[in-house]
Amino acid sequence: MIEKNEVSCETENCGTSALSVRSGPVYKPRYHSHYSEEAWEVKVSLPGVQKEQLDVMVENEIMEIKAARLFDTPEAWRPLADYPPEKNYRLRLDVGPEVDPEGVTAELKDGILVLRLPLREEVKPRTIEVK
Amino acid sequence: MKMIRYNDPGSAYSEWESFFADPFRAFAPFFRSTLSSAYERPHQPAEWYEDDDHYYARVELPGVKRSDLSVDAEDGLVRFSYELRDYRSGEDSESSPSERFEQVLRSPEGVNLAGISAKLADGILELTLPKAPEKKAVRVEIK
Repeated sequence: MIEKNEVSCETENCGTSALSVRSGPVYKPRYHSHYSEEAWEVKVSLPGVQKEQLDVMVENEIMEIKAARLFDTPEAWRPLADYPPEKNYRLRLDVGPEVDPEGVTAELKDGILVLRLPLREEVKPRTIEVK
Repeated sequence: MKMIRYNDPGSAYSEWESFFADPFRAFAPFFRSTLSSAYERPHQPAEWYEDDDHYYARVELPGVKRSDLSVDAEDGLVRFSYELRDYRSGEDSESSPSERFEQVLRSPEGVNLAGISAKLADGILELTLPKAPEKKAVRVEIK
C-alpha cells in the first residue's frame, strides 16, 4: 500500500545519489509519520544500517532515503538458507513546499531513522488577534 | 490477541523470505495489536548461520532498546519479548504508550542452553547458540 506523500519509484524517476545500490533486491522500509505545528517527523525502520550506508536527500520537494544493510559476516559462518548478502532500502516521500529543506535533521538510533522536517515560517499556524 | 502477518506488496523479498528465511520453520509469531496500528510489526524472520561450534541467528528488531528486551531459551525454542514505544507519539520517553510483543523461534536441537548469548545493536538481535558436544562435527580417523 502506498501511503500519503509517498512517491512510487515505478512512476517517477528515482534519480541517483551518492549511495549506489550495489546488489540484491531493494525494499521499501516501513515508516510512520506525524505532524506537529512546527515540523513533520518521519521515523523509518532501517535495522542494521550504519550511518555510512545511509543517504538522505531533499530535492524539488521530494525526500529520498537510500540505505544499505551490510552485515560483516565472518567467513566461518555458513548460512543455513540462501540469504541476500546485503539489503538495500529506498523510500521517496513528497514533502511538499511547506517544508524548509535547509532545516531537515536526521538521527539514526536503534535501527530507526528519525527525520525532522521543519515547516516554513509562513505555513506555521498562527493565532489571529481579534481587534 | 490477534495475529498479524504483514506482507509488503512492494517488496519482492517478503514472499521470498516466507519460504526460505527460517530453515527451522519458525513458529508463527504472535503479535498483539490492541492500541493502534502503530504497533503492527512485520513477521521478523531469523537468518541462521552455523560454524563448527555454534549456531547464530539474526533478527531485525528496529526501535527496540536493550532494556526493553528479554530473551528466554529452552530446548529447541528461543523466545524473545520486547516493549515497543509508540512510533507516532513523537517522543521516546518512558511515558510513551507502548505494547509488549513476543516471538518464538524454533532453534536447532542439541544446543548448550546455558551458553546462549544475545547482542542487540542497531536494531538487530544477534543470538549465539553453542552446539552441545555431541552435535559438533568429529573428524574420523582412518586407520
